[in-house]
Amino acid sequence: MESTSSNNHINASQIDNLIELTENHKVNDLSEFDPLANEKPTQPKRPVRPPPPPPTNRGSTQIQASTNRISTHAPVRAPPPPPSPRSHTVSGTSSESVLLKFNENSSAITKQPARNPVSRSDLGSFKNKSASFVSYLSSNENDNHVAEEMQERKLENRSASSPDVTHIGNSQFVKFEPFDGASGHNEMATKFIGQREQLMQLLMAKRQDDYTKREPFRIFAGTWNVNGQFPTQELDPWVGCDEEPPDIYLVGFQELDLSKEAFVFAESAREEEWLKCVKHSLHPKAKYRLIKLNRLVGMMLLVFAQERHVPHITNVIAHQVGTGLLGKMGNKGGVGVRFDIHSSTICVVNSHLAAHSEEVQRRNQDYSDICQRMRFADPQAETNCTVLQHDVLIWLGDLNYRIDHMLPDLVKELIEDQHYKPLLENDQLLVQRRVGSVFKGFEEGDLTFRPTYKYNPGTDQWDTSEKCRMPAWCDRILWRESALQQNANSSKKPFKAVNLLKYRSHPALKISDHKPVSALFKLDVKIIDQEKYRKVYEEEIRRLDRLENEWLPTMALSNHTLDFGVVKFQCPSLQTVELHNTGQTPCHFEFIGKLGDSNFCKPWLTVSKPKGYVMPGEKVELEFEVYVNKNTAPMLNRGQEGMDDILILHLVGGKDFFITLTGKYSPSCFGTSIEALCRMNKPITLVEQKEIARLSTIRAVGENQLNTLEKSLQVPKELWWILDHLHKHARHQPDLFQQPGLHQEFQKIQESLDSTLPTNKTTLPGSNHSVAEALLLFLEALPEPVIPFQYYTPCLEVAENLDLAKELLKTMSSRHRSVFYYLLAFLQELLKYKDENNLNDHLLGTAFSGLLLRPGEGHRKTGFEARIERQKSTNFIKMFLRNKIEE
Amino acid sequence: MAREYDHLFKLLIIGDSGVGKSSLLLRFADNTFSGSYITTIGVDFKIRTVEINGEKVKLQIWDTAGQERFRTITSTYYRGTHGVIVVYDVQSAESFVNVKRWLHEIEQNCDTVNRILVGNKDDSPENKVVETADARKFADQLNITLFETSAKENKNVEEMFTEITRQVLETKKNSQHLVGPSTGGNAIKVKNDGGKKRKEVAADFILLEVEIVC
Repeated sequence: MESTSSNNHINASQIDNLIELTENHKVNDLSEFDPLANEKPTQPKRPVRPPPPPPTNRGSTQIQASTNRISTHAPVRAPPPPPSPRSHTVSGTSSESVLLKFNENSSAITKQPARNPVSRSDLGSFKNKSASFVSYLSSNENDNHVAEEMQERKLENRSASSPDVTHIGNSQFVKFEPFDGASGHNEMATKFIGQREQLMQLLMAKRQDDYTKREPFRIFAGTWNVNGQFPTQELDPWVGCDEEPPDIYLVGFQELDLSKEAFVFAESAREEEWLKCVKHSLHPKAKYRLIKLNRLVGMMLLVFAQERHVPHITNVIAHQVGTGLLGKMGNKGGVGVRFDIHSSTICVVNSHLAAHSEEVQRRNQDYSDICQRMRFADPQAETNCTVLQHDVLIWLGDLNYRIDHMLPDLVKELIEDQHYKPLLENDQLLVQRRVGSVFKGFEEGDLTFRPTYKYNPGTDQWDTSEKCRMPAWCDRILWRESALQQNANSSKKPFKAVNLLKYRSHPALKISDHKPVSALFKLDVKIIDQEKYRKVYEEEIRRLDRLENEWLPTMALSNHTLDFGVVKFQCPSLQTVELHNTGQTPCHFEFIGKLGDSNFCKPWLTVSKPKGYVMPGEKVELEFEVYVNKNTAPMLNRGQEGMDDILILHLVGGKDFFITLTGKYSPSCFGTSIEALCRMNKPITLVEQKEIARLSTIRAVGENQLNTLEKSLQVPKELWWILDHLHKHARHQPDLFQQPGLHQEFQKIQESLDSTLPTNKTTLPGSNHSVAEALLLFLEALPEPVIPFQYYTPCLEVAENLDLAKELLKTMSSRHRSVFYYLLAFLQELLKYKDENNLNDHLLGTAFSGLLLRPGEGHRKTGFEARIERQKSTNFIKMFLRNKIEE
Repeated sequence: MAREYDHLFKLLIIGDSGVGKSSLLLRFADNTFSGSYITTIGVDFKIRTVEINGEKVKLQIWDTAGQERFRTITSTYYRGTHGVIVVYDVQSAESFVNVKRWLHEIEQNCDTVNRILVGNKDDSPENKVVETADARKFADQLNITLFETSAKENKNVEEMFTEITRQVLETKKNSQHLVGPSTGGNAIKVKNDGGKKRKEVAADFILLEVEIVC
């Protein structure tokens, strides 16, 4: 192919390059700016039709339009500017990337455990995990604030659980499996799972007063270091000393068995003996059942409850921790039991801490070791809690804290005088607690009894052995109420579930070098009213449901109907819809195809922003543009489909809106077939739609399969009018076909062609260039080109043989053949004046071959093959231009 | 241990435009009512968790546009639905007549589904034109439960939703427990033997074509 370097000449390969260039550019643009580019497109890439040409600067827009509107007739004068992206598209994508960044950053937030095994007894553990939230809940009664907090947490979770940023707004929620199949897009966005459960626990805990009542229980807690002695004495003065029978007994022993066997083996004969002895001395006025026995070497803890309470005591779990030799052995340490009574959670620890006056730090360490290492785990009940995670923790035992800085004689003297104050000031446990080193948050009754250590066994006399130990309050009972329980109560005054009634020692028991100690508590046990609980539960669930509903993405649309009125060929019509995010969550919107359609709208419509985000309270304007071009005109002319359509605007994780489009397309000769136009004896706008539809079905068949029954013109009158006009006025026009027409003039020309009958006297409006362009557009928009699709390949085969070509054309529909020869004759006429109009056969051949000879759908060649084909078709036209036409 | 829900069901509310579908949903989900009429142009949903026989059921309830022109589009939302609530307005005979068409829609678009018939706006006796007896007769013929409700006065709304949920739950349990295609309650299994015949038959065919499986 001989290439022309003249700028003024149309050069097909240049145009191709241009097309490739602009298309490549577009692809780059997408991957650069669109963060969702990797995502599977919801619709196949649809060519984005560029904005309509503004009337003033026709030339440049035509080049710009070449992305998909292949304007072979577009004169190429300057390198193409990149297709200018619409301003709001750019702003839209940038706001998206900001949003994505935000999510990326926040994904560092630690993910909450998906599902925390929470039982009521576990509220404590939950509290620890989200301490701020709990304190917030307890300190603020305002529901709105709770809601805010919840939303914050939800947001946190959304971003945290969504590491895949490309799925923002989608994967942050769990898809509800049963639903996502519905129409492929109504996936539900409500991931509360796990979180919502935890919230329910909290909300219920917060409202526990609304469904619980309190019932007082008497708890007897006793501790005694028996110094390895046999139970040779009745325990009534200790265990059975109170008038009223306690509801629950918590009895702890230390140094039950000092034998090496007990240390090495699990069995101890003493266990049974002491158990029998305690049982024997339990209060006679009630029947008791052993709930749990827990022994580690010399430490034994017994839990008894009155029989009538047994059915309400659940989740009994025991655990033991050795802190003795090697930090692990059971000569020192603690044994614990936890249980629920009704809805209160109770834990009791019996410990024997490190001995010797100077070992304060070790005792503190033993305490914290027990706190850390003691775990009440029950895989079946999914509980795993520490000693502190209970409504009430009672800690008893030989804690071994001594009296500092005082001489034994003075101590004994002060004790004789019952002047305990100086002693208490030097009591190691009180001192350590005061400075917060141990037993934080615990309470203890006043020490009004003589120190319980160390006596000569069998007497009430202080130790007179060689070591001559100083008296001390080694044996103690402390308790702790969980903070949550206090906070859960709505009254400002902290509620005390535990009240100490008595704290005393029992010197009558003399077999050991320690005296036993006991405390009597009144414990207000929570009892849940199931009926009320259900009611409150329902209320809270409804509240969460409401919050969840409020949290669903929602928007308000300024209008749901877009009326485009009468739409004409190549006349853009614009309508807008404003999206206002009226919800509380960022809205991710997108248009989706209906009924399984992969395109969400008809090809003649473009939406400025087919998907994007709107932040709460913000607005986005969408532009809907209807533009009928040569590709879409034939369908609309035929009336095959109207301009009515419904678009589905989908909010990801939320509702769908329907946007209704209406419009009426005004049929035009542009985009109507030669066969149909030849059979219309009046302007197309005066022809009934049904008639147009009928005529449009006539195929360009050969002469011998005639349907000559209908009277028809040989050449469409519109084409005749254009050529006649050009012949009369434009033969001498310089740069004909090389200079663009004016858009406004074209519209007038189109209107004339569509609405008036040409006569010899009528002329078309507009400049020669505009009329020339109308000719090109007319040919381009023909649904079936002048040389019908089926003749395309045969014609190329005879591109160098005029006789064969003529023979071939004889088999074409007579009207198409007439049009062809008529056009060629006209072009030959123009070439007579080529000195004035600067035309030549190559230029015309190149321009018109692409219009007259078009490959059909499914015959798309690319690259080298396409070039060969173009060259052949150009030669085909040039061959006719250079030779005499007989018809 | 407590789960957020034991079952998750999708319910669909259909019926003529203006019969109060959105109001029923708003009453049930948010316990609110607005006298002003806003046409639903699209589909919307809300969630609500209810307890049926001690089991927590999370409902996702879809409210659809009732306008005729949206019918083809809204039909795509039927898929995956467990229960359909067909609503008419007791003050509008036309909306009751159209119930047949809505039932037809269900038949065209759902496989096994529970249905319930609801006469809404039952709060103004003087304006009531669809008599309870007539509606009952119709519902009995089809073996569908009928409820007359008022979203405005919060009458029977809770009961109606509870009933359809109960039926859906029962259907699910029966299909789990029994081997084979049997379903319980009055769940219908819509015959799906090709669409040719269906298109030719008038709306009355429902009685003939729907097979009640018990």
